[in-house]
Order: sequence, then C-alpha cells, then structure tokens
Amino acid sequence: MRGGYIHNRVLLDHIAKKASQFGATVCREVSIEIGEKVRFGDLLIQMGSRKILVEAEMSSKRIANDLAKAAALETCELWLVVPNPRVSKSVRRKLSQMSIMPGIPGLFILLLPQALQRLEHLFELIFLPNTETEKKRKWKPIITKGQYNG
Amino acid sequence: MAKDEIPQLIQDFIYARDHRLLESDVGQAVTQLMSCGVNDDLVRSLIQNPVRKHKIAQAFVGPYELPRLSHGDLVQGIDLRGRPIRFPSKFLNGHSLTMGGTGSGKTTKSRFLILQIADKVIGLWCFDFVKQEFSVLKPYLARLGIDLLIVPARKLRLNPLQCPEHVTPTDWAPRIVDILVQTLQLPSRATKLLHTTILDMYQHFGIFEGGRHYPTLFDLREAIAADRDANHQAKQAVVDSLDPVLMSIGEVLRYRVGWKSQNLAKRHIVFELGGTAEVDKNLILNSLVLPEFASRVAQGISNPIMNLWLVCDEASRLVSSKSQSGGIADLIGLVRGTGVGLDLSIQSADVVPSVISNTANKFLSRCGSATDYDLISASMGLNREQRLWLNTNLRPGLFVGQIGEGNWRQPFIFKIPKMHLKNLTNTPSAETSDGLKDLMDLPTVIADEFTDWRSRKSKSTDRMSASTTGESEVSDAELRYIRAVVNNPGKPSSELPKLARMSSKRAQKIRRQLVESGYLREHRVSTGKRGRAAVVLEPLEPALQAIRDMTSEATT
Repeated sequence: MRGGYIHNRVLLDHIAKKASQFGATVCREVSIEIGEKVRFGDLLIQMGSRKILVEAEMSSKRIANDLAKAAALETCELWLVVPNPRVSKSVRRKLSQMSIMPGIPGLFILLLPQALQRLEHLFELIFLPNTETEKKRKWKPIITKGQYNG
Repeated sequence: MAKDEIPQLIQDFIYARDHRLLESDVGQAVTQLMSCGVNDDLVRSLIQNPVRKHKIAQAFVGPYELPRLSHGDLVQGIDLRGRPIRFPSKFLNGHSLTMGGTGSGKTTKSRFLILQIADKVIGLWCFDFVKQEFSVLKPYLARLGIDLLIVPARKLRLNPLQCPEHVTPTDWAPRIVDILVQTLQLPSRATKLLHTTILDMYQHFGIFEGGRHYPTLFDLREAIAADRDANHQAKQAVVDSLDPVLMSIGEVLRYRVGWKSQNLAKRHIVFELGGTAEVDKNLILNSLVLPEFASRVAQGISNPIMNLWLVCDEASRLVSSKSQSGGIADLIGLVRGTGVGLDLSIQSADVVPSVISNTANKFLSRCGSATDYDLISASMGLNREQRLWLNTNLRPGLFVGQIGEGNWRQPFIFKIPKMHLKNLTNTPSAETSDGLKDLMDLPTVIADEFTDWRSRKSKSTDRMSASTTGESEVSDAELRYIRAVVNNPGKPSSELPKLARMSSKRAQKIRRQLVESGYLREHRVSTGKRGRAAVVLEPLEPALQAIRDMTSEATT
C-alpha cells in the first residue's frame, strides 16, 4: 500500500472505519483512469449515489493530481485530509495559486477531527430514501470532467 | 645653545656618555678630568677613539644599539658582530614573550635556551602542541645528567577539580569554573551553574571537611545532566561540551586524585599534546599550569630564585584576547616573584594586554602583519626608524630583543646560532612505560566507576547497533510503551502513559529515549477539534521487531 504510517494508519484508517460504521461502502486504492494513465485514489466513500473521494496529503505537492482524480470520478465531494494546520495552510496557498479557491462547494480541506465530524454530519442527514422524489433525486457533481484539467 | 655652537669634543663626550662608553675605570677617570676642565690630547683621544669606533660599528647595524649585555650565565644569542649576548638567567624570572610568524625561529630560540636553563632550575615544563619540537633535546640533556621525561597527553593523570596545595576549595572553585568556561567555550550563563554545582559536589564529597577524594569532571557532567532545576540552555551547553572531552581524554580525567603540580614541578617534562583536540589541549594545559600558579600565590612565596621554567610554544591558547577573563592571564602578574618563569611564544598580536604588561623580556621576529609589529614595537619602545627597519630586515633566526631587567633596556638585534639537533637514540619520542615509571608511581586515586562511561548519545548508538544485530535492549517499561503505540495508532502521546500503565513523567523520558534510539518517530497531527497539533508516534522497524520478539518469546 502506498503512503506512510500517518497517511494510512492514522488518517485514512480512522476515516474508513468511521464511514464503515455508518454503513457506507469504502474502497481503498480505487483505480481511476485519467486519459491513458491509471491513478489510484486513497479512499472512495459511497453511500447511495453520493460519492466522496478522500485524499490524505502530507504536503501540498500533489493537489493538482487529486483534483484531476475527483473530476475523473465525478464525485460529489473531494476531501483533502491533512495532518496539521501547517499543511492545511500550505494546501490552501497552493490552491489559491491555482486560481481555485477553497470554499467552493465540493472541495474540502480538513484535519482528521474535522473529517470525522463532517462524516457524522453528512451521514446523519442522509437516510435511505423513502419517497419517490428522493429516489429520483440525483446528486449533481460539482466538478465535472473536463472542467478542470489540472 | 645650538648644536653647532657646542665644541666637537663636548658633543663626543655627550655621545659617549649617552651610549655608556665611559663606564670603565678609564672612562670614569676621563669623565672626572672633563668635569675639571682638562682636555688635553690624551683626554681627547680617550673620548674620541671609542666614539669613532662605536659610530662605525653602529653604522653597520642600523638603527639599533649594539647590545651591552656581556655578563651572565645565560647566552641569549649572538649580536651582529658575532659576540655572545649574556645576562643572568635570573632575568627570566620576569617572564619572556616572543612574537614571530611561522618559521621565524621561535622554537629554535626556545631550544637554545632550554639547553642552558635545564640544569639551573629544579623543574622544566615544555609543551608540544602539534609537532614534537622538544623531545629531540632528551639525549642532549641526558649528557648533562638531566632526565627529560616525554609524557604523551593520554598518559597524564589529572583532575581539574582537585584543589592545589594551600588553596581552599572556595578559592579554587571560581578559578576552575573560569577555565572550564573559557576552554569549553560555554555561554556566560553556564558560569553560575558550574560554580554552584562544583561547590555542591565539594560539599557532598566532604572536601570542606578535609576530604581528599575529589569529584571528577565525570561527576560534574552527571550532576549537571540530572539537575532538573537548572537553566536548560546552560545545562545543555555544559553537557554537550563536556561529553566529547570526557569521551576523548576520559582516561586522563578519570582520577579523583591526580598528579599534583608540586610533584611535577620538580621534574623536567615535555608534555606532548599532539593527537588531541584543541579543546582537550587547552583543558590539559590549563589544568597543569593553573594549579601550580595558584598554589604558589596562595603560599605567599616572594622573590625566590627561579625554580620552575615553563616553555609554551603556542601560547596564544593561554593568553588570547578572545578568551574570557580569568585563568592564566589573570595570574601572570601575580606569578612573577613566585619562582616561576614563563617563556611564551605567540604568532600574532592577539594577546591580553596584561600579558604584555607583565612580561619583562620581549623578543620579536619576522611577523606576518603590520599590526603585530605595531603592538610589540610600542611595548618595546621602538622609535619610528627602528619600527620601519623591521618590515624589510627581519628574517628567520634574527630577533629584536629587549631585556626588562638590569641596566640595559635598549632594544637590540641578535641571532640564534644554528643547531643541528638530531635524535641520537632509536627510541620513539614518546616515553615507554619504563621511562615514565617515576611518574606512574606518584600517588593517585582512580574513579573506577567511570572506566566504561559513555554519554547518553553513545548509549543510544549502542542500542541502535544492538537492534540491527538482532539483540533487544529494551526494558520492560519501554516494551509496554512501544506496545501501546503499536496497538493504538494515531493516539496522541499524551494518552499513551495511561495505556502503557506508567506515570507521564516516566513515559516522557522513555519516549525521548526511544525516539533518540530510532524505535519511534514523532509526527505532528491534529487529533482534537481545538488546540495545537498533538504528537503522534510512529513505530519504526526496530520497535516492531521488539514486539515480534516479545510475542515469539511469549509463545515459546
């Protein structure tokens, strides 16, 4: 498995465990085709039609790749989970340089406790659909393929 | 009255008087006659002939007076006429300072004097810092019946904290603190820490009550490292500075009672300090010289005949202006008149002013910079013409000297006769253990508990090397801690003491040890909703291996 101890055992494992507890489908190292290349996403959480791509980052170097993966998968949300505020600040700075500002719906830069809390908030609100309207309701992806090419 | 109005005879008489040409009986008679107004042809010739000769001779030697030092048991060198320059060896009691660049002949001059002085003093200490300059004199001194002991640095047995004879512990403590701060280049804040710790140790070892087993520098290091109330930066500076010294020359410093300076002062010894670090050299040098100085000053010895002569070829480490106050530079003025003569050789003008003031005899050879010439010229009272002469006329082996004792104080030029010294024996310069038996038999008390002493860092290195060879050196508590880390990934370190069933203080200590040993790695991860990022520990391969070993032992 790629990634180090903090990346895998601390950040991703905790989020995956929490998401599983909520009944979501959790996939580690999900393969994503971007053009002719195959990349791997750290964690894909699926609950119904809602797809969340979680990427744990220890630095701001590979942010552009993460955005491309999320666009390719057409996920509802992309979570960039970082270990501490220093890396968080670095990622925000990198995004501002890429002219994509944080705060855009669907893109979140989270510390571990913030990610776990968001999971609680998110899945607390999502129940199994019990009306026809909700069954037909489709979640529109924020970042579409082709809109951002890194 | 203008000079041309003065008769020539009177001018010559004045010249002769100024240059002390009339000090003989005949000269004094001539002076008497002149004062009575007698100036016949005989008187005229008795004045003008020596004046003419002197002027001719002076024309060949430049702006410096021909030296009028011709009586004494010590030959300093030969003047430009080839005549020996003599003065009594007791003049060396006022200390000598020689300044000259590399290759100017300072060592040759020192050797020349050693061969003459050695049988006139009870003790002779020569310090070889890099090259073995003085050991070559051994066979030559042996012809005079003098046994010159050559002692390598690592054969010494010293304890800097050992109080010299006649010096009280409360007087010795601040002196040795100043030496430690200077040689180890500690911050000034460490002075207080060292002073209080040394006094506490003296109390603990019963030194104030007359105890004779002194604490060592090992004891000092351990006491400071264990002092929780000490200023952290001062403590760390002391420990970090002492560790390499103790590891490098631990075999020298491992004595509660080392060689006493009074015993060494009765012998002719060459201390060969090459092969040790600069810090070690400085510490050894100061540990040998300062106790003897302090002991003599404390005894109130006054103006005896010089009985100990110290020759230090690179004295800048003793007297540099960069060194902090205290130590040798402070004592050099007091030591004068206690029977110790210093012969210091330096390469540059970087010297504490008190050393210039307290060295009566000054010698100058070829230097590298005008600043060096300016400083020593000013202290020797050279006039402008004499100062200008230096830049282009000094060469290796040629010196300008000034003797501070006696009646002749004028600077003069001399050269050292060439010596062709060679090792006449086949034995290596460092003494065999038979040769040092005399010193090895001196009473000492070794601190056996420090025989295998190693600093914390080297203990960590042992642990790392043991872990790579498969040997586990973790204690039970450390194993519990590692297991808590492995079983609880992502837990902040503040929660681990409880999980490992130990106090947080102990856990902190164990965590630090394990991180230093390479068992764990620290990361900063935000684990709480508020506040700063916590420390999360990652178990590395040695930690995982230790757990596996423990598990396999448990199953077997």
